[in-house]
Amino acid sequence: MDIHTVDIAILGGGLAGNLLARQLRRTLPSLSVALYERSSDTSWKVGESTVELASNYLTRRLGLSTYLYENMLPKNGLRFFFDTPEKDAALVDMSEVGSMSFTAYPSFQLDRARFEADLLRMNAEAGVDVHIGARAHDLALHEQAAPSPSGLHEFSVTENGVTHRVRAKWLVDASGRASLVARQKDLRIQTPEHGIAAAWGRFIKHADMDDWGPPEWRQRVRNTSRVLSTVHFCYAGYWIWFIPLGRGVMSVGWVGDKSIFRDDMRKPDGFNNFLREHRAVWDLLKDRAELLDVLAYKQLAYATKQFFAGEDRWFLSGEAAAFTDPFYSPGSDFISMENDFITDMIARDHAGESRAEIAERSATYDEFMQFRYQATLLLYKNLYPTLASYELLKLKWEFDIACYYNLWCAPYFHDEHLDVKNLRSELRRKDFIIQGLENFSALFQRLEAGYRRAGMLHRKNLGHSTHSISTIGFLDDLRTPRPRKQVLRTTEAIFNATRASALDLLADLGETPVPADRTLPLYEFMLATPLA
Amino acid sequence: MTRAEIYNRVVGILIKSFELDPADIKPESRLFEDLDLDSIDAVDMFVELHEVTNRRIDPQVARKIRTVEDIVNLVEGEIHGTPPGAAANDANDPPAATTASPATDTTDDKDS
Repeated sequence: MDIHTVDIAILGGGLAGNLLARQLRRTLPSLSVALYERSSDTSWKVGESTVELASNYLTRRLGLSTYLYENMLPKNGLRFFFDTPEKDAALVDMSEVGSMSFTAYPSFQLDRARFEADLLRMNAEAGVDVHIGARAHDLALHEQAAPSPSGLHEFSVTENGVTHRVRAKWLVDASGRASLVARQKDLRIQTPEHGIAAAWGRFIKHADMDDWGPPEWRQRVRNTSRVLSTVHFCYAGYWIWFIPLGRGVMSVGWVGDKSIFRDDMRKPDGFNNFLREHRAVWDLLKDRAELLDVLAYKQLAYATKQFFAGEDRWFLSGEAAAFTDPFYSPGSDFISMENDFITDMIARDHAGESRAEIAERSATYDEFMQFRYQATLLLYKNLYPTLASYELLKLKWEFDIACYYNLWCAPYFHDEHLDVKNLRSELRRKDFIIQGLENFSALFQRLEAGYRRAGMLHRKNLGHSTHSISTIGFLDDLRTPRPRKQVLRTTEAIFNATRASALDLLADLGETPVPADRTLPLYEFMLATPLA
Repeated sequence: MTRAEIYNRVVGILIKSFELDPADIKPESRLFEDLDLDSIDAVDMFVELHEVTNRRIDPQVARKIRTVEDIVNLVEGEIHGTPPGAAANDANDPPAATTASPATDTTDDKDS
């Protein structure tokens, strides 16, 4: 059997693998990179929407800004619409949360099939040894605890009926849910505590939301493009997305509690029938839209015991490692951070850093990814019922987006995540941050339960709209690194603003908060005690 | 850990984390009024204390902290399981080594 030897082998030619290959060529041009993609057709994949952190990675780190603006669509933020319990509201009557201008930091809607095909081509042109229709199998990792005879990672690749053996110093598994490494190392952790399913499809010939309704409805958002937003139609326990892929194609998906999932949603008729139950959604599709294809997952979320083993030179990126929930499109954020960490560890290893140093760095990066996973899951776990209400989701959204910019985007924009000393300092606070996020999650759940009992969940779901976000006045500050104290001050301000709004909603329920103070010092939010 | 050791550790944390002058720190020093700490500093202090006690901070006790001695009581209570303030109130009689070594804690914040 032929043996091919390469410095870095990447399993998987989807988003994670392709972006990493590009990053490695740009950062470490002296190292050879081979990429093995099992599928020979660049089939459609879900995961089209990027948010600000990933977009920063794509533009700043990977130099894809011009490509993205020329070939993909700029994203106009997130947009939420709310319905009646009977799901019979007309789109223009629905309460709306969403901007009336493009967001301060770039983000994009991706047609994954086109984007990944282009990346494969660009990577091949840049010197990556790209193998399409190449199935990797018979993996033998080279680890200190279990060395391989060659002293390198090894696996077999079968393409066009011919099998050869590949040896690589560094191995990155970016092969998605099928991950060879995750299976071999038994890394997957099920997350029954967040039982969310999804079904999605691509439509053509749908109605144009930006040429819809009376002029006043479009003027309400200054005629900015609603189509270019990631549009969420929100219901108790689930949401339906509209994401434009360009060239007349619209991705439409459903994500919700597993108990709501119906097996017939895996089929076009079943999926269409489900969508038909929602007047505003169906109004955009019914007359002439054609469903091109439909896919589904019964369980979306899973965690991993480990993301990286820098000292043993294997790594996971993207869905080979973990997945939380698509609601705020965090998938490409995870890829961005993982790829940065992987590239950094390979570069340091290549430059001669000791095994012990790499091991320590890898453990820190791993702990940070676990922290990010935990914090991200907290955004969603047990909170799908709040989607039913304009008032509650508006509160939660303004909290989530402000925390996202303050705690995750800003450090990334200035590469603070690659400063391991800074990271360790952040990680010392992680239990307190998680406690704070859990406290807010509990507050949102309490509001939802109270609103549901009082029959108030839908009371403002028609005829209201919000087009600015009150909690993100600090965005201009993010252009330069901020002292840690400023970050925490901003955190304190976000927490207090959100809690104050929550207290007003509690007052509507006739509940008296304890403690009653309108403003709390930051540490009070991070103690194991209810916020109201 | 003895009460004197706890006091030294707390003083060490205050010196290292908040760049305080050791001479200013006394058991009766009020954190906010005398030592000029603020609500953000308090978070850092709780992070440090959590690493000393390795236990969740009791919210009811945390809210009542006003002085350096209150912190010593909290840590002692968390470590030894005694109610805060129940221990012999000997923090007014500072132990010999009041200039605790900052080396005893592991603060590595880039910007404290």
